[in-house]
Amino acid sequence: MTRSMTTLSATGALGHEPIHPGSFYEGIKRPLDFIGADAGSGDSAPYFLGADEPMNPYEWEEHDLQLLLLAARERKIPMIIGSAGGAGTNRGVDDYVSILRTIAERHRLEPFRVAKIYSEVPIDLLRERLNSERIEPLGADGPLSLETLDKTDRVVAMMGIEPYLAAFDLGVDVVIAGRSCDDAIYASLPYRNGFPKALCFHLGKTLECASLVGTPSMAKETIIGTITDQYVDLEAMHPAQRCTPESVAGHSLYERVHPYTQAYPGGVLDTYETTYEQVSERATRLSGSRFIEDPVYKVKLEGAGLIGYRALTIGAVRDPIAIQSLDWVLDSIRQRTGEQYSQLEAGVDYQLLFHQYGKNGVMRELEPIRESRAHEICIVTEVVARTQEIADLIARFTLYRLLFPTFAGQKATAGGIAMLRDEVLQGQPSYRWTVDHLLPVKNPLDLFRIDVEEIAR
Amino acid sequence: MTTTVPLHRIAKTIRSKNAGAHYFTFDIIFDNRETYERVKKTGVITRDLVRELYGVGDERIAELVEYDKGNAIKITLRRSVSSGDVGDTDLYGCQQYIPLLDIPIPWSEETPGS
Repeated sequence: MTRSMTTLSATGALGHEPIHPGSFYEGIKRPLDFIGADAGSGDSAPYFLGADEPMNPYEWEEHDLQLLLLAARERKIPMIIGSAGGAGTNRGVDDYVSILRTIAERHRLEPFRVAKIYSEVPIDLLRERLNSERIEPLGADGPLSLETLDKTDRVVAMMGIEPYLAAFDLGVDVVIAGRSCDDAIYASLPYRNGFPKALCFHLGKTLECASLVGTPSMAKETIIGTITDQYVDLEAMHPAQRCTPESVAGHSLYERVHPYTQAYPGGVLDTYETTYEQVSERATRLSGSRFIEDPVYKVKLEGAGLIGYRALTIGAVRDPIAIQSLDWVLDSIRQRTGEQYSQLEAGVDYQLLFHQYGKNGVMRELEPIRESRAHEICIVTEVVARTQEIADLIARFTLYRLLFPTFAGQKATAGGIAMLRDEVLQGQPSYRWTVDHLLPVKNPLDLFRIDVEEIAR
Repeated sequence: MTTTVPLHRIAKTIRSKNAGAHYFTFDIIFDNRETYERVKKTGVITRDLVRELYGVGDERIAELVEYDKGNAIKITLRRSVSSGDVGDTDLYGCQQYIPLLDIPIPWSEETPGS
């Protein structure tokens, strides 16, 4: 008989929007070997990493963790969560474990052992490494520099499968991991059980976004994945959804630079030779994927740093004569602001941006339509400054300049902008992705720390 | 008779999204192999076209891949501003595909989608 492992993916972003329970309860009727979930994303901007803030509302995270934990403990199967808290910071890991304690207490669960895998990297460690080597960019513009590290508040390393393997060697029931390669969440246990590495990673790659791998596209619905020594099967659990060869192969496009290759710590998944076939109404089988080992094991580093504090104002222009002159009006306000606050250096002490929604607010320099056809244009003024006080002041100054503009052919003299509010809105502080680099390591565990805790009711 | 049809009438999916913090990636996905092959054979979707549609230099185009297994054409562009940085106006990059919708595709015989 063919040996296999079966796992369940109910969400591509734990806590980002609550899991839909219908297809989840359908999925847990299957004989499962473990349950996984990816909680992270780099898409939600660098703020959450830099500021170390949770990405999602506590209630939603608790909702999702409770569904998964209760199902896992009832079946005595492992639960694996990666990129806790969204950005995978140490606080994110601790917060999730704290939620698990609450759930265990509430439901009087039998004691279980949790591995906490921490993935924050001390910035001083990177400074030391820079003394003796070059750290190459992944997405960043150039090699890592001391100057970049000086502008960085927090760095996490993205783990591959090895820290998970080490955690399971410690005899744990649950893993709460910091920043993790999404696919490693599902690849690690099958790999530990001797399944082919390429299929383990391809299982992870297809499961990590849950129902986004099926058709029609749905979010937060459950997908079941089964791995054998020869193939991976994916089956949709929502009654209106199917996994088809097109949908599964098509998922390789999603949020990736290239559809045929996917780099991981330690190697590359190559799907040039992968075949996809429908094996039942709602299930598709893939096989033939290859894993090409990297001679040097490299770990992706993600870092974010504070740029400044943010203030916003919102208003709109409806006057067609004003709209014709709007670029000119905004330029003159920018100039007037510089004169009024000549002790501040524009671009250094503050950055002033006028977003013109109705013109090029979405696509900026990529916008092909040069002449707006809009009859009204919303102006969101955004100021990012080195202090909140400066940001607030510049935002208020520009708002009142917008109220009383001067332009050619002007008829209205009582006000030039319909303000949504006349107060300045304070946004979250502004962060930037600073580190997006690859660090070679001798041991895949080098940047990660594993603590084990027993949770007893 | 050959006429042209806008791409959105032929493709099943036309979308954009971040691929990491520094790239926008665009997927044009077709319903079936036949339609995909027909569009591919027209040779219309090229790096030159992408440069023209988005007004960018060739150095911004990281990939243009014909993905036969997915009946899809994928384009990846380097962002001018990384996701979430000051000046980024589309954090997830999901509203950057618009110029692709109306790419004129030479199309003969029956007009699909009509």
